[in-house]
Amino acid sequence: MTDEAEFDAFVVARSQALLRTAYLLVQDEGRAEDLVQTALTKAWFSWKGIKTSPEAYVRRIMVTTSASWWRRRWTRETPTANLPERRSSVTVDEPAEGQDLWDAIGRLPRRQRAVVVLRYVEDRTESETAQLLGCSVGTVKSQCSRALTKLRRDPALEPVSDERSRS
Amino acid sequence: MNGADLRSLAARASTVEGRPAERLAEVHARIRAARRRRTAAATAGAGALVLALLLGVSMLTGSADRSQEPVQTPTPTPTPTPTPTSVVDNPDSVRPLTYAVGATIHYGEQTIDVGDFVHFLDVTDNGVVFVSGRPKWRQHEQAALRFTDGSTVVQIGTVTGSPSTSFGVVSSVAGSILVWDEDPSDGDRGDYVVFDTEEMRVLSRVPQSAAGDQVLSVHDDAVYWVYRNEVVCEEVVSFPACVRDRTVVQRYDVATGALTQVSGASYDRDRRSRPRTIVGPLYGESDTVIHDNLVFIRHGRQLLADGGEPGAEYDVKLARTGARIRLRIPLGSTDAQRIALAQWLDDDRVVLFAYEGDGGSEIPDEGDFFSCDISSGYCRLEMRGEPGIGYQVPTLD
Repeated sequence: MTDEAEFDAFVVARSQALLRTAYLLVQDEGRAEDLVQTALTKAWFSWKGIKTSPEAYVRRIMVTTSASWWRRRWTRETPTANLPERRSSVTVDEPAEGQDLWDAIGRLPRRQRAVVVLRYVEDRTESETAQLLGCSVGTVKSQCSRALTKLRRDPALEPVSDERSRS
Repeated sequence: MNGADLRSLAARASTVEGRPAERLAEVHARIRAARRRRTAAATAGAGALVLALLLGVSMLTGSADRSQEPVQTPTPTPTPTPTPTSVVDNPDSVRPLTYAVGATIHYGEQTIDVGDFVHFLDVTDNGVVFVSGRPKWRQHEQAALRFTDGSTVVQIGTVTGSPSTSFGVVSSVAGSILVWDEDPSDGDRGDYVVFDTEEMRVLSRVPQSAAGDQVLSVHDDAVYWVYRNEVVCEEVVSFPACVRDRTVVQRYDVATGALTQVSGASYDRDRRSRPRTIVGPLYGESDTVIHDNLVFIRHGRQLLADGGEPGAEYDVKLARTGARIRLRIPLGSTDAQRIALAQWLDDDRVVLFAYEGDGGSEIPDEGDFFSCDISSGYCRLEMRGEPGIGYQVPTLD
């Protein structure tokens, strides 16, 4: 199989799974698609030289790219070829607490968000997470600790008393 | 955070569809475009100059009238570009150090208790614009946009969105002008509200395009934005360069109310001619205008701009003078490694906020405040943050 055919087969077979991770990282469907395509494009230029799993390689590009897209206005509002969805289409029946956690994770710094997504949502080990983020296991642990501290401090995840009891 | 919550996140992600049918073709299109750029980069120089000359200014003057349809021009009009005039933003623009803790805004020597948790604040030469409310903020709620000069607090508008998008508010980096998105009460098209905090009045409401727009920057003499559906970039990381090279930019003249279109290259030159504009070697190109909030990484006392990953730090310069920015903080003055440029005090002085974590959070962070003279590179510790106290700092455009 040629490099291009191999690459195409990989895109067809694995890009939808990559999109799910991308969506968790950037929390916007349009930007998730953009992130996946950006990562695949970058990966193509190194395709021949990828010694390990191509998927791990692309995921790593996705994670590091999303972590570098943290700037506020430009990351949230970056134009793309196709307009992104304003809101996710799956919010209608979203439980309130799930929405709160979604919002709170969205407010985490990008690297911390990546750690939370990889460790807790995708259930990856600290070692795998470190490999994907290109950092040490110690950094994963410290970022994880900071992320959880921040989530605990997030106003959206504080216990609600009067609001809920009134409704 | 429990197992059910996490499963709900995973379930939510599993329903995302994206564009699977078009993805492979789009990736190949990006690869072709990247190849073209790489080839072009090898022979750039003169080519870039020719392109800059071709991207002319299309002057389409008219009043900022709601009935006026945005001009849909997919590519810049190839007319000769006039030599840009050197723009000087208000040289008297001076602002005090500004931040908020909880419901209290600190504006220089003044403290203003606004009653609610401050989710966002920004500064003009005349005071502080802010959004406050209950601590448990929900995105896409409407909120009052308020302004204080340090003595009184008045509501100046209504905004939607969230702290992460600065509620759609952009302030001039020097001067008195504010712009924000105002959602329509009916219909599907919003306005940009242009507000002067010197005169405390709305100067104009400029209709947005149906696709939604992106404000590039706000100045006392002009507001620049782009129509989102006209900015098509193969890789979003090259967005500033994409705007510069391929996009028509909308310009609103604050004095006359005239709407014009200028080329991205013309806008880029205008930005570079202004003080308080920083450039750096982003996206493989030297001296790209940095629109983002700038974050430095501390190496001992020296500060280098964050390149997004370890070892990718870079030098930044003032666009107008080309002077390299070499900031140094006093030894042992902070434990933080990441230091954000929080606000400009005047054309030569900035406030830096040194914080733990790795940036991008909209939640107030613990941290220490520095003021720095760009010309000398010297920074002094203005305020050491108190442990457990989160500071809300202004947002730069």
